[in-house]
Amino acid sequence: MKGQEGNEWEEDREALLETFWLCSVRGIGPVSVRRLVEAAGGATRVKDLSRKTLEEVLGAARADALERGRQEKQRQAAFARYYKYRRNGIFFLPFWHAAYPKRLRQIADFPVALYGRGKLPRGKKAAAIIGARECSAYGSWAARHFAAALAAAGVTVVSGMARGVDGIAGRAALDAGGESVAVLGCGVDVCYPPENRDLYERLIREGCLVSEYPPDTEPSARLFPARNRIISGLSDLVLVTEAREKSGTLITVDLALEQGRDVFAVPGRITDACSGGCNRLIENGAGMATEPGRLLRELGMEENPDAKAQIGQRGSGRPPDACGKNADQTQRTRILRALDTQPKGPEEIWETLAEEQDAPSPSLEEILQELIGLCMEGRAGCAFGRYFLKDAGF
Amino acid sequence: MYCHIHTGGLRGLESYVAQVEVDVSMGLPCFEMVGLLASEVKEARERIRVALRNAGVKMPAEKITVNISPAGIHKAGTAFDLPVAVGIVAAQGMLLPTCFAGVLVAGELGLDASVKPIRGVLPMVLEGVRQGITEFVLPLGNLSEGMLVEEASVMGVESLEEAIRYLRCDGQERETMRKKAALQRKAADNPEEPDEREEVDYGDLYGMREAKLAALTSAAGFHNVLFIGPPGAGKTMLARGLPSILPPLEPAERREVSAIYSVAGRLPKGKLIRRRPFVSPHHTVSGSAMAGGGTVPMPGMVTLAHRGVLFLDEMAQFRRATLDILRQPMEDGRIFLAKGGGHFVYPADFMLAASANPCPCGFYPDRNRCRCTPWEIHQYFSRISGPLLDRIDLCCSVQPVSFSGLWDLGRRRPGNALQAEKGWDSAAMRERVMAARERQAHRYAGTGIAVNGRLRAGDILRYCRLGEKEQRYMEEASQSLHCSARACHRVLRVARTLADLEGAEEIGIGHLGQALHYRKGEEPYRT
Repeated sequence: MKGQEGNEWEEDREALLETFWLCSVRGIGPVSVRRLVEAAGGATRVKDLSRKTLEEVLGAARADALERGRQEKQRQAAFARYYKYRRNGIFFLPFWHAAYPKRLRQIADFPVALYGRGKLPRGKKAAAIIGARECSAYGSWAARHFAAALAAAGVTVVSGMARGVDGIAGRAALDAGGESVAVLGCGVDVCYPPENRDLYERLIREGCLVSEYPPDTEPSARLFPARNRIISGLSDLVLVTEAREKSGTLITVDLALEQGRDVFAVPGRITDACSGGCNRLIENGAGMATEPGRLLRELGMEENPDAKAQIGQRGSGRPPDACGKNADQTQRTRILRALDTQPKGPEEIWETLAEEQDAPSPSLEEILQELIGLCMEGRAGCAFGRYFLKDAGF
Repeated sequence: MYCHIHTGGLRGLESYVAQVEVDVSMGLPCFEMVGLLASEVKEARERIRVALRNAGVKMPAEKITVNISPAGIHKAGTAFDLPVAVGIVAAQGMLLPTCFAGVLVAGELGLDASVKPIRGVLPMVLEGVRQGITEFVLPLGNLSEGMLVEEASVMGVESLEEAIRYLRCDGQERETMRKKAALQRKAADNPEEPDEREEVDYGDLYGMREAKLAALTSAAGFHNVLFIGPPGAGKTMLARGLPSILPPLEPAERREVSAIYSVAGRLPKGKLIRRRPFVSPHHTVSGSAMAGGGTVPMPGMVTLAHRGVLFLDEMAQFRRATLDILRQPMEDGRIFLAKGGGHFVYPADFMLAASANPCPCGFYPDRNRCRCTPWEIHQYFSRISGPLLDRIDLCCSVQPVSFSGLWDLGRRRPGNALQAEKGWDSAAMRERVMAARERQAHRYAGTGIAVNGRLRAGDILRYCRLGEKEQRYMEEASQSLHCSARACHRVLRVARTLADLEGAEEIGIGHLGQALHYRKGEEPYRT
């Protein structure tokens, strides 16, 4: 946060410092902070409130806590911490600030302040893309597909930077040149999960990280459900790409519904346990996310035609014959048709093609070679020697 | 009176010729043995004393001194019993010193004066022959093993008396006795016994063409291979079938392998080993069992698998430190052991076959059954270090054949559901392996390289030449599939074998594509 953007934080420096101090007083929770600021008519005036007013607003026990926290030594320590965070590129965004997201302000238990790194998104609309941590190839494909299309159209993609769908959506949004926000369940200077380190670094540079918890807070299971209300709170719409019948993702969906957000789910096959939760959501009235365009229309936005073309091409960016040489394109097309978003072994594909009557079936060796060719073109992916369709153009 | 007899000792896999010197002279009656002896050799005194009495030989009431030279080498094992006992008999003048000329005596004694088999007879006889000894008196149980060396005339004895009787005879009579013993041994060995059947025939495995192709390729080029798949997919069966398609051992290799097994005391009934060894240690195996342990180390798993297959079932369950032991032998084909007893170099040129599940539960990427997190999968496979994975050329995923799949297979080829696909049973596959090996032998004649799987980086450039088209393909592949130079070398080695299997002189794009496929299987483990 340097240069011109820094000014935005300099304007209300005193009020920011006062709120920061208030948030750090021991024994004073978020609700008390809110009440105090409202009662005093501004964060700067809290320190001058009389004992009587404090007792009226907070009760005796908390008033004592605030009296203790009001000592100059405590205040100076809090200010020093604020400046340290600012030096480390961490911003502090209290609820009364103009930059505080409007949507988030509307939910019942909005966080009294957010800590963040990176730059706040400028986009008008935001969509949360959430789903299972252990996602299938289909789920990760769907997350990539929707995140890239939404981001390219100017929608901010909100996620939790968790393993699986969250992380994939965040990466895809940044790849597509869009904006992305990750809401963490720990301090913004802690990277959790550690395997998403790359995404964490990218979000600081190209997107934004926010958290309700002060820096240095270690991740813990009890913090994550509260984090979910911010994910949906920051968004106009929540998209579930993959969830089991009993999935933590559904907690976020419930919160989103309480907050009045639209919920969409990507349908899956009835045989896929990973899509059970999504199908159930659709059955219960969630929107069916069959293409990004539907979501964009819901948000009152237009699809970005250039971006669409770009995404469609990204997979097969290479000219086919650079990877194929003498390869028979019709044969490759047939193999491509036999592929699926679910991983399939080469032998399965071989047997499928052997059943087709109209054309001579290729040998297993030929299929192996063609599959590798498809991987090189970026049209197929491979996991443990089984192949699946990547970036299908529907 | 003094006399000396040749005998053999073992030091690691190597044997040396030792002298048993016995002196019986005036003095306080006692029986002393010297020469840096291990406790089992010192204990021989009691065995010998009783055995001599039971053989009807009186222990002289004089001072008996036995020295086993060279006195600087630590001596272990029970092979010294018989020569010491015979020496005591001779030192009393009951045998002429000339009857030991050019004779090597070795064997363990029982209290009833019987002679029991010992370990390491084959290397002992080989070393004796090298040093100009032609006649050997060995336990009858080791006779067939000793007779494997054609240059040696070997006598098998059952008891101490028989040994003494033999040594008293002259050349002609000894010949007759040897023939008699050989006949006796042959009768006991039962030559009618059929050859052991191969454990697994690939003809018994239905479908699994992709995996069989991987097995075929690995056997043809002696490439290390890793099978990955869910439980019950047939990974173990695939690996167990490998000896059935590997070419049989060459005569020189047979001697080499049999000598190792002889030292380990694992030579079956003194027969020469004909099948390629297949060693499958349990995943709890300790490091010293894997590498070879003891002050003078016994051959470990890597040495027992020499010229054959070392199979690690459930590779990800092995301790990482144990697996990393394999790196050096896989690179050099030998293992260097520095132990209390000195430095030892044991041969360990094996082909590594391994099986592993893709994740802790075994069903990834089938997300209907597997809920392992990417982190768990990563942890599971982090036991196998990258450098070890780098030495595995082929990585093949194995998918279980469902019952209905079997059924369909039968329907499509009416009438013979249970007959193997043509060309994919062990016999036919071995023929293809042999043909491919012949091409390799022809190409590498006189270079010291035996197989494609042992090509080094420099050799690869020389022998895995690519045409212009192929080179462009490979460049493209290494970029879009993120192959490092080392990974490209592996792909080229495998492609060379695939070309050899097809009888093609040049590596084609098809071969490269298949080789790339067999590299892709392990990719998820490298993230």
